Order: sequence, then C-alpha cells, then structure tokens
Amino acid sequence: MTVRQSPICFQPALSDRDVMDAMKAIEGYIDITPSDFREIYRLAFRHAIDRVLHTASARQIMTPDPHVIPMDMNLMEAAGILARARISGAPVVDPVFRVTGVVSEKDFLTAFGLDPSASFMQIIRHCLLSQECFQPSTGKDTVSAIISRPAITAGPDASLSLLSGLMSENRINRIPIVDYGGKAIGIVTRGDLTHAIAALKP
Amino acid sequence: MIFWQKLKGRTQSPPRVGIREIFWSWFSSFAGLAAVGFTHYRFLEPHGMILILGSFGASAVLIYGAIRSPLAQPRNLMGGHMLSAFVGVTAFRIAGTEPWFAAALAVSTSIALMHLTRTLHPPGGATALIAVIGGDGIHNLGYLYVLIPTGLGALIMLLIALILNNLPSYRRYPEFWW
Repeated sequence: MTVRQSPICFQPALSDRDVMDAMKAIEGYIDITPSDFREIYRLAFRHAIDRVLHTASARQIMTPDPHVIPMDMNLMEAAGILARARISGAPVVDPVFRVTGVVSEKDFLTAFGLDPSASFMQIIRHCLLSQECFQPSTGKDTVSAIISRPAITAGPDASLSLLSGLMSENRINRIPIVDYGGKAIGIVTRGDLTHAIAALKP
Repeated sequence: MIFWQKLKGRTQSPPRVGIREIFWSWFSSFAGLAAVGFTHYRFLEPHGMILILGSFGASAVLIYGAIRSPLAQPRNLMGGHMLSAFVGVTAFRIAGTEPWFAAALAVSTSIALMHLTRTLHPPGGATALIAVIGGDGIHNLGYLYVLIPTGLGALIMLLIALILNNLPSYRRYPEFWW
C-alpha cells in the first residue's frame, strides 16, 4: 500500500509567546492583544475547514474506477483481488454492476469467527491453536454472505462533511461513490478525507 | 464570580515597538503638528481664524504612531473628524443651553455614527466635544467648524502622514483608502 505522508497540523495550538514573537517581528504597533489574535486565528481556521468540508465534493477526492468484487464470487477469489490490489476493502456489485455493499477485512474476520477488531498477533495465535484456521462458517463461502448491508454510498457531489458524517455515524472506513444508476464510479476512504483536510495547511 | 474573573484580564499587553518605530513616530508626529501649528499661529490666528484643535494631538498618536491600525486610516481620520464635527455643532445648536447634555449627546452620537459608517476614529469624539465646550470662538464658526479647522487641519495631518510614513522602507501607509 502506498502511504502518503500526511502532515497533521489540524489545529496548531498557538501560545501567547508565539503571537508575541510574531508581533515583535512586525515592527509597527499592532493595536490588538495576543488573545484577540488567537481568537481570530481560531475562528478563521475553523471557517477555512468548514469551507472545504462544505464546498469540496466526493468527486474531487475519490479514487476513480475502484476495484469491484462480484457478489457471487467465492471468498478465496475475493481475498485474492484485495490482496493483489493491496487494499483492505472494495465495493461489492451485482451482475449489472450496481453496488450492493462493501466487503472489507473486518467482514472476512467475522466470517472466520474472529473478533473484527482482532490484531494481527491475535490472528496468528488463533491459527496456531486451531486446526481449521480460516475455515469460513458454514454457508458463508461467497462474498454476498459476509458483506455489510445495506451499502452506504454517496453521489459524486456529496460534500466532505456529508462523507465524514456517514463514516462516523456508520463506523465505516470507505464509501463507494455511485452514479445515478448505482454503479461505482469511485471510492472515498477515511485516508482521502484526512489528506483533503491536511492539505489545508495554515 | 464571573464578573470578578473578567476584571482580572486574560492576556498581556502587546510588545514594545523597536527604536526605529519610536523614532519615526516621534519625527512624523512632530512634522504633522508643526505643519498644522505653524499655519495656525503664523497665518490664521492673526485673522481670528483657527486651525489647530486639541483632538489633533490624539489623531497624531494614531496616524504617526500606530499607522497599521484601522482607526488610523485616511477614511477614519477624515470621516471620523468631519462627521463628529457636524454632530458636535448640531448637538450644541439643539441643546447648547444645557452644556452637560449637549456634550454627552455630541460624543455618544459621534461614536454611534462613526461605528455605523465604519469611520471610527477616537479623536473624533474629542472633536465633537470641542464643538460644545470650545467657547465662543468655536461656537461662532457654526457649521464652518466642520471644514475649518476640522477638515482642513485633518487633511494637512493626512498629507504629512502619507509622505513621511512611507519614507522608511519598512513602513507603509495607508493600509486602505476606502
């Protein structure tokens, strides 16, 4: 997986000292107190974030043409697609390519009878102790049997604030972006949202 | 308790300015007041006219000593003084028989109108007050007080500020005209 560096400077805390030093660097008399400055800065920064969250749309930050997984695919093949693409989840589509859900690592863990928040070491331990490591529970051998439903999707014009709201309300990490026919045209992950906000360096 | 908490203040005073800033504040305000004072004492006073007002001392603090301040910009300097002068003369006309009332009315109405017109300039309050408490010399001017001494005096101070505040490379004036 390519890891993009994300400078996390979401709300830099300015001290009075920082502001005083800046005011000294500007030679003229500034008739504003350090706390006034910090208040303006705080509000302006908040405003800038709101502006981006409400004006930027899913289309601008999504990864277009995402890998999709047919809903009747068996788990082994699906895992192969995710592994080759080095992604941890993908939209699941029906025979006419409409998004019906999302499959992710967590769904696989649940299907194998593991805690979805299991750590890598817990999984290793489970495999070492158990003979039937990674035998899916009975009847759960296709993707459609294990995916989270209904699909939480959004249109390409959805704002970043809507996307982040959907993610936190539904505790999900990726949202397929669909056209009017319900076909996946892109995907937005939590990482994409973070990068969009981190690009807002003050 | 919140009230007492507020009285303690919450931050610190802005830093002291550098020696260059102190020098230029001193030099340009000297020149500004010299220009107005010289014109007043040499040319106008002998003919019974006035150009210098107490409130110009206060304006000098802003337009030569705190030149970045919104309060010190040309719009505020000219607008604040002339609007307040008009309000002051009007207040005296309306309520001159009760000077305490006319004085309060002049200053408070000036502040409100300067806010309303985005021309807040603290010395304007003094200009309005002087229209009421300035004595017969001022009262006899009537609405001419708005133009001379107020408008003309402020204009001379402004011209000096426009020249001298832009001489040092690190200073600039104004921040905005309108």
